[in-house]
Amino acid sequence: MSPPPRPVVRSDGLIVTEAGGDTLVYDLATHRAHSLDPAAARLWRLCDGTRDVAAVAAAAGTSEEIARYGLARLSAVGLVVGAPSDAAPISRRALLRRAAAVGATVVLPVVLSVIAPTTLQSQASAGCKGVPCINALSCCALHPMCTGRPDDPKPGQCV
Amino acid sequence: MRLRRSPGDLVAALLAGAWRPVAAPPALPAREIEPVLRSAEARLLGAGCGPLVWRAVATTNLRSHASAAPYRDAYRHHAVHAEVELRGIAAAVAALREHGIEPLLVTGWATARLYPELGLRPFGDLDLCVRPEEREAAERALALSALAGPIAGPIARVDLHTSLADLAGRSLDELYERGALAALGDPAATRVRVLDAGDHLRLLALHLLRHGAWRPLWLCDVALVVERDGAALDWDLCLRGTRRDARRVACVMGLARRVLGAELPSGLPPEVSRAVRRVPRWLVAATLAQWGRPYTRYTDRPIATSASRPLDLLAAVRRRWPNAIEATMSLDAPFDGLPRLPLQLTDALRRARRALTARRVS
Repeated sequence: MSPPPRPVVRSDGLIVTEAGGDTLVYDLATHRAHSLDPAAARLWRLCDGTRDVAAVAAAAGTSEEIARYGLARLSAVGLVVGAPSDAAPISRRALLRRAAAVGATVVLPVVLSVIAPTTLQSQASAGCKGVPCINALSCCALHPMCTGRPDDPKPGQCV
Repeated sequence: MRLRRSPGDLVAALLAGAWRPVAAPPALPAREIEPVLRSAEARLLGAGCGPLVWRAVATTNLRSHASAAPYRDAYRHHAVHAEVELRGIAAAVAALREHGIEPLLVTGWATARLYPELGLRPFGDLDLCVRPEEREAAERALALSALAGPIAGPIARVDLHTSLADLAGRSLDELYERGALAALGDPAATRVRVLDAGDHLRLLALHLLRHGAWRPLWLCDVALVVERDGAALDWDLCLRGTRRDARRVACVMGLARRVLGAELPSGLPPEVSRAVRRVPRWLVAATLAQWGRPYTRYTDRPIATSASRPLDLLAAVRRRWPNAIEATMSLDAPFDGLPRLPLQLTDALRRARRALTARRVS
């Protein structure tokens, strides 16, 4: 029988910062950002490759089922490797239903993708200089002019 | 009878004091905050104010409300992206230094670093000043670095400057000498040269006016710098130059006080105090009006495409009507109490003439 998997945090190509009580992780490989609430962040930091899921759960002070759920979420976004892959992973709803049946309160680890702001916001903050455009409508206020001409199908650039 | 607040007033009430080390809750009754969060969402997020609004709203019981979620997302997004951008800035500065070029970083991060948290003030474009004779070498160095570096994005967005229009009358050597090295906070512990607080304030204030004060964030920047550094500022240096520009800077400080409740330091020079107290009413009105509407003037279709439809043309002309602040700056007119309509009309005609001339040339 093979030993239980010992999940380990992916350490390369990640930028980690704290904001408003959450841990924010930017993945340089996928250019996606994730927000971990304190429960998920605790699980994530405990994945040092020395603990199996039961040990991670014990160290985090949670049940093995909840730890398994959290690790599955972390693994799905590529922040943890070596997490156990369940044939039928338990859902958030099922966990909450089970807890409610026994009158318990559970704190589920939450891993969210950080949503990029609207196009306009990213343009307003980052500028759109050099971005391909067909007319001024495609450009932001900081670089409001488009070098393209309405009668020319070739795109211009916001300047 | 209670007066109804304008959309611009509501934006100001949301942002007042949000830049302080301990954020002030919005200066609005709780029942009024939620409708504002919904109605002003596109405008506030579009102007990069999302993180600051979240900071203010997070002090209220609306922090878990659905209407606050887009602001919280913007805060998270900018907080994590700021960390990524830092590495890009460090790479660009290192690339220039490798070639013996010392850049001066203006606006963007140089302003964001003063906020209590880096992600509160979005920054993207990297504006670096280099000496005119170093410009070509700087462009080459950055191009090479962008090819080699793992984080090419921010480096590709470098804007190189060899002079700063809003700091006219100050040589680059002087700006370098007065500037200071600030810690970037990246893993390589890079230190970057930034403007002295007085030059920075002047730049922020004149830049805000030149662009018609359309982003509320710019006035928050001014409020932050004035509150943070105002007491120790060398006002003679900050206001050196034409009296007109000095008055403009003072007017923006007065605007920050009037609109956002910025606390100005005591001991301001008498002429600054006077100007701060006498902010023209039209300046306050134009700023709040601008904050209450989307900034569509420059993101519109070319006016020529509406020429055959009179109603569309009228709407396009209305959208292009210059705001009082831009018209005043564009015509280099004084910030006094006189009506702005003649200036706006002149500026609109000048722009129209320029557009027609450009059309004939093309």
